[in-house]
Amino acid sequence: MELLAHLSDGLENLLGVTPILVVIAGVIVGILGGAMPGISPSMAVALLLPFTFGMSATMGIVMLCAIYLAANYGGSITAVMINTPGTPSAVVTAFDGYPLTRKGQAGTGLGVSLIASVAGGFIGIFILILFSGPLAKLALKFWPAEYFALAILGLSTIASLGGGRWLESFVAVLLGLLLNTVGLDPLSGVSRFTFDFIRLYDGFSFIPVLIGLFALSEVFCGIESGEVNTPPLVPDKDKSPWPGVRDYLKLKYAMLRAGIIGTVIGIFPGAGGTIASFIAYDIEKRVSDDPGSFGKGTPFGVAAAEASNSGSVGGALVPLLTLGIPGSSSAAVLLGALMIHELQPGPELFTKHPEIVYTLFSSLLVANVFILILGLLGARLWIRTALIPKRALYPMILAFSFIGSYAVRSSMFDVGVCLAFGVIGWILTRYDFPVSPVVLGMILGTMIEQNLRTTIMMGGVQLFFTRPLSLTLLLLAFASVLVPYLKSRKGPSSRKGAGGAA
Amino acid sequence: MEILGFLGQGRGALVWLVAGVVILGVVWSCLRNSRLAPRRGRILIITALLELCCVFLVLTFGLEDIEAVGSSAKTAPRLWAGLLAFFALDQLRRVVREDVPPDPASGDLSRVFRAVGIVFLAIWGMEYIGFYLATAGMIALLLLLLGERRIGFILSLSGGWALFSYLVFVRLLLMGLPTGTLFG
Repeated sequence: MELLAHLSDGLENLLGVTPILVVIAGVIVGILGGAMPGISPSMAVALLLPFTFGMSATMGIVMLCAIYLAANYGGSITAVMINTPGTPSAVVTAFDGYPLTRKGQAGTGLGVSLIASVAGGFIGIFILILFSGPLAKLALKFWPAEYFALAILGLSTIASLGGGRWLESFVAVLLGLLLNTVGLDPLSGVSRFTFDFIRLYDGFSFIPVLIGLFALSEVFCGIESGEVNTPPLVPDKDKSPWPGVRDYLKLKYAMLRAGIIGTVIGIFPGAGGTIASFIAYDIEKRVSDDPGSFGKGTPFGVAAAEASNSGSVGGALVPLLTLGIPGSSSAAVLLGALMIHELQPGPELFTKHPEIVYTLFSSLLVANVFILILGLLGARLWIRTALIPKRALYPMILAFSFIGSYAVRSSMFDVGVCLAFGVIGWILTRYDFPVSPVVLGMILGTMIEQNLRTTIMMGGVQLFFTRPLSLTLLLLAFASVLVPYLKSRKGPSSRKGAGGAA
Repeated sequence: MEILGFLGQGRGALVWLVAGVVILGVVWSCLRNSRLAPRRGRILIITALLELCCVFLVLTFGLEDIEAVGSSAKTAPRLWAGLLAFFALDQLRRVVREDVPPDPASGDLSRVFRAVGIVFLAIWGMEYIGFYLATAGMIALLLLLLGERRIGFILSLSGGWALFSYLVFVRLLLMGLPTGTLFG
């Protein structure tokens, strides 16, 4: 009852024109920022941070949280429409979202990504409100051995991502892991494979690689196949382009599962929405009656990816608010914002400033409602992208890719990296190598290496097997690779049926 | 050790690159009349991956040794390169046994190369003529390459992009886009 009373106080603080305008402004900026490749949620939050200095602490934090939440949804728009994930966590959304657009069902892709995003957001926020205390304690039990095991579990999703192409997937993920070692060693600072080229000291920046592998390779494939000359798919006038309520209801369990997975993974600092979406997508494919449809444009894939990455926002706020540990890079910027407004996150925040905490919780709920409203309004605009002829769309995608790659570090070198990976992605796609495992390898590479070596330093390899949580995660990862492998060995028909998200 | 030091520096990268291209060329021409000719593309990819593993493995021997209880900066690259080489060789075995399908039929490759060339030119030119001119020029050239012939459309799209990027990215988001040495 006390919780409800606090929440209702929080909602009361949001009644009024100014707080609602602050939330709406945050949602609009978040959606636009997320949709723009190169502007990550953390960057969008950081960009707007100075504008909150003149606001009260509560309103400032409310606005930044609204941006954070909305940016996670915004990333899915370009992923669905032009195969260019606006944020790293939207990579998985593109696996099925873009094939839906190619099939002339952009409305389904956009609708499902919006509803799943909102559903995942609500799940994450409710879990944050109800269980933040015990979940924060669980996060503290994670040692490097567990982080390593969690990353390996994330890596095991390649068993799904490559469809039946096992060997190609392994090759692709190892290529990603190997390329991730370029730059300064994260533990000792030794320069590796940089050829004394200063720009390589930080390694390959993730966003240009992502844009290159997904967006540019798609453009080059389209140019090669002559798809550029085909007229755009005009939706059937007699049929609504948007899914109906029944269609959404069919996805309810997928959204629920993915929302919970996203929230739980989101609480572990460093794991974040990207790993959550890979794992949720993998699980959804495994429990699906039609795993072959994944990667070819199934709403279930979009729902799993979006619900999990939006759920991870609530998860990332658990350790931030209860322990003062940021669960993601965006949460790290929020931590800075809290401190700028002279608020110290941790258990005392709940006792000393409950009005701020519960206004924040309430604002997340309100922001989610506005994401739904503004998303529905905006979707009518986004869907027109599908009507643009490819020969006009492709040059624009390339120009956007330039901006997205340049924005990360203001570096022309990154734009070159984007082009190089675009060509690599095109070649790999041409010869049936899935590109998503390369991205996965690059995302998880540092986490795996750092935690593997830290664990070895702390007590040797045996730590992975003597700590129950780590052992459980490793066994899960092992089983998730082995079971489908054995299944695929049983019958040659399984290879034909397995879809691959490239 | 001296040779490893050289191979790990800027000019060493050039040596690796030239050697890699030569090896790929040799493999390509050797397979021209063999039974593996329909799978030459796949073999070239595997060869390139093996070359990459080789470069990374060799260069780890020249890395500075700051060892801390059983692990060093060499651990991960050696592990990943070794595993990648293993799987690439297995893939090669499958290709040689013709267990994988032949290379896909080529589409309009020359148009892809020209598109990549235009993009490369725009990236290179950005340093001199700045972001706006380079991207506007790139859009115009790509539109022409992809078959657009309406001059008004080409000019409005490329000019519109320059205006849009200035207003949104520079004025609104305060991003500093390259202005080019010729203008700035």
